[in-house]
Amino acid sequence: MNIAGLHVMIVDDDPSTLAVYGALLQAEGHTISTRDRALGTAPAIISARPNLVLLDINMPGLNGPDIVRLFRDRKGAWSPLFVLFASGDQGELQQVAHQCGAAAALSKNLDHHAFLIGFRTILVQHLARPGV
Amino acid sequence: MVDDQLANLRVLDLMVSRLGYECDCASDGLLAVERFKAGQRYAAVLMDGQMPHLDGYEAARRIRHLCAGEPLRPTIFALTAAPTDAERMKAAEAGMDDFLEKPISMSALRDKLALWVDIPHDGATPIPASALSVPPPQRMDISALRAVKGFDATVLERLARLGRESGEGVADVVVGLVLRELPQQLHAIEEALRTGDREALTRTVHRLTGAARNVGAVELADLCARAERTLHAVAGGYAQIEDGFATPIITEARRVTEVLQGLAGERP
Repeated sequence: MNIAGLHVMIVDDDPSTLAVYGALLQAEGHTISTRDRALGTAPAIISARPNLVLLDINMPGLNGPDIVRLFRDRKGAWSPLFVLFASGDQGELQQVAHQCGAAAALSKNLDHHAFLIGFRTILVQHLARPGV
Repeated sequence: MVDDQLANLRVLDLMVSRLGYECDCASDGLLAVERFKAGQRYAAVLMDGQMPHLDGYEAARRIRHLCAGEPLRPTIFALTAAPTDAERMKAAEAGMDDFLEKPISMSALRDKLALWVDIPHDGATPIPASALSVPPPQRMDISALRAVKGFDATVLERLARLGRESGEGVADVVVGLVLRELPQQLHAIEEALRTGDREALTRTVHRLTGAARNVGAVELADLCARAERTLHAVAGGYAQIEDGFATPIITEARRVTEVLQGLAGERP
């Protein structure tokens, strides 16, 4: 799969986070859709069919790891690549991602460049394989 | 909820009602389809697979047909014990979305409904559809932030550069969103402190951390991050937040608001 021009959905209850990371990824050439709440996320994901969903870990009603776990519970059904997204220690985030079945985790931090490098690395590792 | 076992329906009715949803019951697939034919619509249908008159799979197929093209697409759950691969395939072909395994636990029911059923907005601020594409009328002079204590001006400067490249006022949009967010979060913190709602306080401080980082308000972000860690890690954290962190957070958030208002040309 070509890793440029992907459809990325960002799910986060903070509107400024949606705007910042949406703009960063849009400038990378990706198509962005956003959702400001976790509740009822599944129909939105299934109808939009994004290549990758960037999920905030901590949201009211249903957190990011729960969404991944519940989505993956639908064995055999289509699922996008899930990447958890939060402030905090990268090692701890990776552990949470591993436990719930997300492909990876990314830190929200002040260094947008580091975020984009992390994002591109995930794309190369998980989406740049033939047949994916 | 559609099940020919009335005891199951009664239990499900209690569980779903306890979660705060309104519900209707039907004792077989045919009756469920009749409800849809009569114009009733539901956010979700919990459908047993094996029922007399019309089984759950065929009922799901007919419901999908009746609702085709409508904006509200009901989520259909198959109620079954340990679904096999063949059952999963059969359910998917019938247009069912997910499974709820019998016996259904309260936590599984709560989580699955939360994942699939969109609840009308509870006051959180949605990002306007135009936020990523329409430049605001006036561009800010972000370089003024370099001299302001507690800010990392490079955060908004980078976003402003993105804006220049794409012709969109990204930094302006982000400042506008944070300015709208800050008074709401300050009110929420004061309310959580007043009522002693630790969960609400943790959630609000977490959200404020993100908003502060997004505009490079590093001092506010650090204060909030420390408060978050305390709330998560220490049993008596709530008192420490109230005594040690709440006042500095509120004071700094008000200062950040004034700085951003000045930047955006709004009168404090």
